[in-house]
Amino acid sequence: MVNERLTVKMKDKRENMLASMLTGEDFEMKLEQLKEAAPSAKPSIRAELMRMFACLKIPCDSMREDEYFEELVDTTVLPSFDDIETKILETLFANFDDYPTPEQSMLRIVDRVCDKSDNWQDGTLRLRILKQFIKYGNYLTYTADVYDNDGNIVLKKNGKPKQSKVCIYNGQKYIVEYAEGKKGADANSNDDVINNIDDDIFAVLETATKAQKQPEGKYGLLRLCDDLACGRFKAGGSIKRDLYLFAIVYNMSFYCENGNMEQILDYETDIQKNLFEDYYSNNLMRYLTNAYSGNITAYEIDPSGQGINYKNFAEMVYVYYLSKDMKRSMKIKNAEEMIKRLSSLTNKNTLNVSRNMATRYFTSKMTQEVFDLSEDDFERYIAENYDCSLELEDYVDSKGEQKQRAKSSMQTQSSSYTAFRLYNKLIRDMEHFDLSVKRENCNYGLWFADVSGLKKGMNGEFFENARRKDPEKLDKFVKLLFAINSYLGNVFIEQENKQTVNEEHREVSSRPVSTMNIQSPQFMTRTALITAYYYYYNAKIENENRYKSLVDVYNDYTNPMSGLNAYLEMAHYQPVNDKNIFDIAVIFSSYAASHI
Amino acid sequence: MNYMSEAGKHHSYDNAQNQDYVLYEKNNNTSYIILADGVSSGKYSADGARIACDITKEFLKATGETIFDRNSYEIAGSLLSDINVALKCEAEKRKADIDEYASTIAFAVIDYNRNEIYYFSLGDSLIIVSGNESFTVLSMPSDSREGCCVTTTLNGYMHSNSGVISTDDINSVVICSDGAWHLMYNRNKIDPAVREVLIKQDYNSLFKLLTDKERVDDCSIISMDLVGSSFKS
Repeated sequence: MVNERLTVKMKDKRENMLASMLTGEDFEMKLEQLKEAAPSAKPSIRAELMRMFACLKIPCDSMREDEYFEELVDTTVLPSFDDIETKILETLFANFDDYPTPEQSMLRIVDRVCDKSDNWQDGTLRLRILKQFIKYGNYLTYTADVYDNDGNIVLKKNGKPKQSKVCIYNGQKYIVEYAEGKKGADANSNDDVINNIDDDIFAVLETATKAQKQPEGKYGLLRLCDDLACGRFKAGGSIKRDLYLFAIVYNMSFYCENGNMEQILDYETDIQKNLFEDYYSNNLMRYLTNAYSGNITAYEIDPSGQGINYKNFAEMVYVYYLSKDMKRSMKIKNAEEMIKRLSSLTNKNTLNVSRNMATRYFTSKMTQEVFDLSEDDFERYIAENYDCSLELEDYVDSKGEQKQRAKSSMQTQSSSYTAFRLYNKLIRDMEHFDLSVKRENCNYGLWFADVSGLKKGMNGEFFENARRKDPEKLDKFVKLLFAINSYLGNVFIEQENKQTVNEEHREVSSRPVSTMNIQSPQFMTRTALITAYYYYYNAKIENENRYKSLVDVYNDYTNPMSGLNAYLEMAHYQPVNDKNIFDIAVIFSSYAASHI
Repeated sequence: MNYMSEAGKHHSYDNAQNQDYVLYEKNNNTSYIILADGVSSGKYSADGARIACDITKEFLKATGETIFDRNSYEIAGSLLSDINVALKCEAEKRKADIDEYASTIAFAVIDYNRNEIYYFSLGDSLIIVSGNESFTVLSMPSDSREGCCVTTTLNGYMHSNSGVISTDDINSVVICSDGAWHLMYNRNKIDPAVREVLIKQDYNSLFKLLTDKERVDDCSIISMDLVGSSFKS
């Protein structure tokens, strides 16, 4: 295969956005810091000044004396603006369209990892994904030995093992029938099917019943491909399994951080970077698509943001096979069968992962040596070191009876204890800065936009200008603001009642926002941790009463020792991501809050 | 000192000019190897790569041994500042945009007195060290899915990767352009045949393995043997 990757320059999007908010006052304040700093602290402040000048495309050498910087500030025409909130709105409005929707993220991933020789690039995204599952995953089906209740292989009369077809997702029959209908003759192979299907095959989903769209339903595989293409994440933990199956059929890679000195992190194909950071995240750009219209309760509103969960035995099995050198359909079969065997062990390791055995413990155990084990040895290793039990959940059956059933293997050990502990610590520390600030009061949301006021009408210079220039884009932008604010704060809606205005405000101001009211590690998410940090940081800077430029706020958030990134890293979540509009909006909002 | 640098088949301007540039110098106390890979869409990126290497060479001479003790961001910021001044000067002569001269830049400095290696990379080059029948990735290529960080990237120094290691158990340092390591690696794993010649430091065979493969991008490798040389370019 010809290597088509060429060196292309990265866009300076983040730096340009930071640059647009710089003012002369920012430079003056930074100079003051430089003058007052101890000699050992000066190089880093000079580096910050250099960065700020570079944002404005003004050459600056960081290894110069203080007077050099003073003169540069004096002799350079530096920007200024009066209204920070308006400036933030203008900056975000100018740039928000560049942030990818989940569908766009998936399209980029598929374009990168697909085999170009298949020549499917002209098809719709969901069709391309379907073809990939057919050709490389055999419709996500395989044949396996049948076992009796005692765990013994069932043999046929001729002594050979009895085998049955296992369908991870159903749908092969309908797909083959569709292809044969198009062809006008029998389809003789998977390639034959692939050559005779088109996007219209998905039309049936519009009228299919809920049962038909389930994994075991008539159109299960079609539904899976459609969901993956649109960025719809099914609730209940199954999305992660879908992503691992996707990663296997697309031959993606897994980079083991421990003990591997020869491998590289191939960003183009890495499962963690592409699927669990860029794609399976709380990407609020989805609110600008139709992906979540209709029954949104079936989907995850706030993906945990956890990435590969090293505490989960099933995920380790998938990761193990992802790295193996074997046929992709064989990887799927062997992974599924290993997970089944581990789940059904009678003498299971009853290791109860306590809160002290953090994800970090398991991350450190999964070294390259472990991933290089033979299949039998690996299975033994997992059985001896992991909790392979399936958690139980209550449910009500079709007769209305309360029952219990096993959850998916992907939900074993999925709670984020460390993240929950850090989340509560942030809230406690915040309340320490200001005894009048409690978590219930932390619901003002975005600081640079009165989202509650937007419900009544979009007034003000920014909205009037934007409506004049591009009303359609403005509508999308406002939708996005509501979406961002829904995770950060409450919306105060005026309605007629007998309460006074103060009573209404007191009621709203004491209603916690859901992300500030997480009560169990089971419901912990990256978004919640960021929200807690947001309110903590705003309380901290109000308490410190120090001047902050946007670059300073950005640096505070991304500081790997003390900022949000430190908490995210400890919680095993991805760090502040420039490609996530929520992360960027939160930083802008803290900046606005610091300038009251 | 060993190197290979072959043009790829495809460039934006289809002139098949190699946009990679390599440079080296060796004396009794220190040696260094430098590699720059011009941005494929840059009309003058071959010149830009050459300028980046030349400026880096001057910078290393001026900085001397202090490079091992300075703050990494300071080094990166200062080097890129010097490179950009030179690129801007060149761009003005042609009335061109400075981005037309953009390139990655990577280097390694070996100090025989200190028994240390200083490595630096901005962009998607790969730096490895080999010795004792094994090799280790020192500096991985950066994330270039949205484009690569290059010499003209705003505040690019923040995206650079650098460090100091001891020369113990190391026989050679190798810098590969992305065109080279994409041929050496299959996804994230080294090609077994490539691995075998790397740990033997058999660069003749490595050179042949790579030139036998079909390649679009320019392909450059430069290595410095700390012990001896077994390669003729």
